[in-house]
Amino acid sequence: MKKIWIICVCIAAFSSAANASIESRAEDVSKQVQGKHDYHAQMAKELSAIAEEEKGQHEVSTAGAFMEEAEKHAQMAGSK
Amino acid sequence: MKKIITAITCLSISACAGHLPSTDKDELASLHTAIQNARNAGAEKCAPAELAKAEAKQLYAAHEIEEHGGYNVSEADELIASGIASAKAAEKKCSKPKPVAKPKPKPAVKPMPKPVVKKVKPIEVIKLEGVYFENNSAALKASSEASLNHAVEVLKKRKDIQVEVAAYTDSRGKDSYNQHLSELRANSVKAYLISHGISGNRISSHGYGEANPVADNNTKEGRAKNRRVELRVQ
Repeated sequence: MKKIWIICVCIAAFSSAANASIESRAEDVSKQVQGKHDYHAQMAKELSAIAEEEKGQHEVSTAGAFMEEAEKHAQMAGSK
Repeated sequence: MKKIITAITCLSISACAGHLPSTDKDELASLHTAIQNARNAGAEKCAPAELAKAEAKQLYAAHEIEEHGGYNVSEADELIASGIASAKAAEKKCSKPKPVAKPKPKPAVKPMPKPVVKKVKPIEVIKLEGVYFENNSAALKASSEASLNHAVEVLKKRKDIQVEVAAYTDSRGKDSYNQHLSELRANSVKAYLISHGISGNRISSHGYGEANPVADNNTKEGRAKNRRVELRVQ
């Protein structure tokens, strides 16, 4: 029983860490696409916003997936 | 028990590994078409914000559909409708008719220039009335002197003109003979003028034979008129 508790605590901690990560990643994406208005920059912004919204609804895995995609677009932003 | 706990842990962690939903769903067909149309219109370049909105909503709607294990009308439908609107806005933005360039004003039609009709200066002819030659000869008769002297005076007064001595015959005799005779007679007159002080540079001579008759060659009077010498001012 003790072990189960430990695991639950770990999962909760992991979940909390993931939440924080989404926020900071969103910030990074935002910085990365600042001043850029091309398709990839726009996609990064849109997907990052969705990720944050999902995170707000505690859909951490979904938020992570959207954020990952946002980051891919952010990397491509501004490149011709 | 240990195995169970490990399995639960693995499942929990794997549950956290998210993935983007597939957009290949029947419910998204209309949005997919709208996005495709926008892309075909070049929206990635001319309306990136609108296109990105549409595509992001497509993904989000796909997620909503997957999440609820079916078609969640209230949320997914809203996203689809909004996505279609964005895609259409992108398409519209890109297919905006380019400002029609004002047609260049047609250059004023210049009236056709009037054909330049060179005014042909009528050749001034100084007729030498009363210049006579011996029969079938280029030798001037003495009676011709008065007329020739008059020509000399004219040429001396009008120092700026050059003249051609043109001699003609009547139509009697062979053409070749008449041609030759007219040339000889023209030369005779030219020689007379030169001998009376007119520069040879101002005078040329030409025999025209029986060409250009000015009267009827069938009459004596007519033939007499046709046998003539003229000074043609050049």
